[in-house]
Amino acid sequence: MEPIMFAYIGIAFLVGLSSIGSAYGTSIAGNAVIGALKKNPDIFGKAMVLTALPGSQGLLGFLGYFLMSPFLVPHITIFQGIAICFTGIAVGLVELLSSIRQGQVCANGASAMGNGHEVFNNTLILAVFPELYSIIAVAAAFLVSLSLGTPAM
Amino acid sequence: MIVEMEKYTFLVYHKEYTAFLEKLREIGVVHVAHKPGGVPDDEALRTNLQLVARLKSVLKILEKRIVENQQFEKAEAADGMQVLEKVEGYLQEQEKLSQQRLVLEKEIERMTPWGSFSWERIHQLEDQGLEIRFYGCVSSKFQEEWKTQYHALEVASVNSMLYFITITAGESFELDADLLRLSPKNVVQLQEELSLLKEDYQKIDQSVTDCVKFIESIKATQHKVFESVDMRRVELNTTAEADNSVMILQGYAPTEDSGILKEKMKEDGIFYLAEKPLKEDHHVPVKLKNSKFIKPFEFIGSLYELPNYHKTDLTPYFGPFYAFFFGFCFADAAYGMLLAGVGIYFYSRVRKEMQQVMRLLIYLGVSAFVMGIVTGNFGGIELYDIKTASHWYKAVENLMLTPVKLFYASLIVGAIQVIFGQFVRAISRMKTDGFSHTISTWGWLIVVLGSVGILGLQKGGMISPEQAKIPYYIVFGIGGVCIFILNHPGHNILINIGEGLWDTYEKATGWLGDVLSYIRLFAISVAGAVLAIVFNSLATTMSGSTPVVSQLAMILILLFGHSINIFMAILSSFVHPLRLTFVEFYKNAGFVGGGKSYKPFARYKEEFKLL
Repeated sequence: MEPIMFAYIGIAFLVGLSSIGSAYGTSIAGNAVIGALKKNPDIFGKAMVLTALPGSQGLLGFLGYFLMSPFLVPHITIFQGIAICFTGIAVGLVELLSSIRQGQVCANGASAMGNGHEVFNNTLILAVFPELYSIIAVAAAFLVSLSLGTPAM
Repeated sequence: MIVEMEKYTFLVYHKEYTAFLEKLREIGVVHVAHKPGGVPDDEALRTNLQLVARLKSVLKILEKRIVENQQFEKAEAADGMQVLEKVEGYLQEQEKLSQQRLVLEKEIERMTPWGSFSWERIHQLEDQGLEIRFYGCVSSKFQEEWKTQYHALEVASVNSMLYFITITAGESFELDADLLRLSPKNVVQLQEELSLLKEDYQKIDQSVTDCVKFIESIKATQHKVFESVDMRRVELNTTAEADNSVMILQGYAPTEDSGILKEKMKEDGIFYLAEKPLKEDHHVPVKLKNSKFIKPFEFIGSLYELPNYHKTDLTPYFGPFYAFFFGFCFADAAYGMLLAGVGIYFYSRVRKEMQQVMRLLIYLGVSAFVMGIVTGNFGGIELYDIKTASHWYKAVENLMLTPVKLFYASLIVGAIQVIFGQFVRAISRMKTDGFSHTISTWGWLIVVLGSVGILGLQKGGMISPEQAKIPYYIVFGIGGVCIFILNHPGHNILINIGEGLWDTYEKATGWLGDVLSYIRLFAISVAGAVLAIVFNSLATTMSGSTPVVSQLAMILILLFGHSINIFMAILSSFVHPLRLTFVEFYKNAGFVGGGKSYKPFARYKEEFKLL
């Protein structure tokens, strides 16, 4: 297998899993918001903000792709190809799970808001906790991209 | 800054008590203290609270029906209670009609297959000795012999269901189909009934809308009810002594307002005691008073909780950091200009309470603009790619941070805020608890700042590694004594050493985690910038080359893409610095919350809540 193939497998995992994670996360929160709106229609504005939170992992996955994109050239070395492959898989998995978990935190917050509890601010703060690890993973991807040297010409 | 409060104890003769409370409400500066153990259940209060809920819900309904430039009657034009009851009556009637409508709609659905038939004709046939039955079954279950045996006639077929009747002379029989009991009205009659019902509903709806003009009357009633709720609460928090002849009320008022309060009490000959709240008093309300620049950040602090009265308000310390962190994350000069522009435009057009938020928006926009220049982003255009011979541009370009520098910058600002937090903790604890409780924190600051300073001198070539040894020994020596020996003066030295070791473990792991947490600033910043670049590139590559159409497509892609990016970037840039403030900074600065907001007993004022 050509080294570039390894790199693209990593990119596929990276972008694919993080986007799937965000799609899941936002819909988990969104579903809860729809249920909560039946009880309390006034919370839509705040609930929408909570629903959007798990969307950032998809963007971070895309950032990961952007960091690796200079190396996606035909003459990539085997070391670079494998590094991108494993980094992509690891970061993609972290983004996927962190987004789903963040979606669950937001969903619980939305349900509580639907029941009349004023927990928007608290949910906002707590929901950011699982996202830190998705950020750490992208930061690690950034450091990996620095260690890969200059892109092969 | 937390406004200094004075604790008041008023002793009032029972016959003068109502007049005294009226006066207190007019002055409007005393926050009434709750009776220890709470107040007893009160029928009048409960009734009024229920009334408040009714008024709120009706007002909400009426406010939604206000049209642009609508004229309202004056508050005195109608009795608010009467309007309330009228609207509630209409709403109940509407609810009843809605229920009836649901039933009718179901009936119509059920009767639709049978069409417009006459019950009268059917009764005439029955009078002639014929029995007509109505059936429904799955089409496949219908047996052809029923047509001859029971004179079955097919009436309609809807989806897989077949509806039919049987005409017999009254003999007893059973079919493998559902025998249906029809409505006494046919579908046309039911539809007429439904349209009448809808008309009635519309008329009532119009009557509700007509009540909108009396909204001021309802608000005036709400006003009165709120005030009587407040008054009742104060009465319930009053202690009666000396055979109910002396009323005792306790409360807090800002020291800055004490002059006017004391003067008015003197005028009326009210006896009172005024004293400084004790440290053990955990019920002192909190009123914040910060400079014009810091005040908008009180909104950020209010998203968490108010500080304890006896501790420090951290708003002036986290405010500038928050604005900087927002700018760091949002980091785009064009987006920043847009945000600041929105803030400036709306500043004079919104209500007073919102002006602070607009001011905050301006700060955040300016910060994003500056950080956008520093990181070289302008709406997805990379400024360091611009080739120009301009000297001033070259000077700015030299200051721009590449992603690698941005990564380290995020960690450095994190470390700065964590250390600053420790400073704030040491100084504020020194004020409240005394120097002896802060020796350990000062020790840590000496170790960290001393080491950084010596390292800086070494890197700058001012001292050699050999020369640096002695300053290191001094710094670690002084720091070590503070952390391990003087951390709790008066305690057993072995216990102090044990606590120092535990503190070292906590600091080493805690600070590392805290500083790493600031990487988010870098990641969010780069993610926003990258997406802006991608949307620009999509707009130029996907818009095609057809004149006019391609320009329109480009504008659409740019508008759509940048709108999404701005929304997501604002969300992330708002929320993540919030977390850095409430988790990392508050922890290091030793924030103690639990403060209760200062709400003086005063004339009713509409409360405004943004979030």
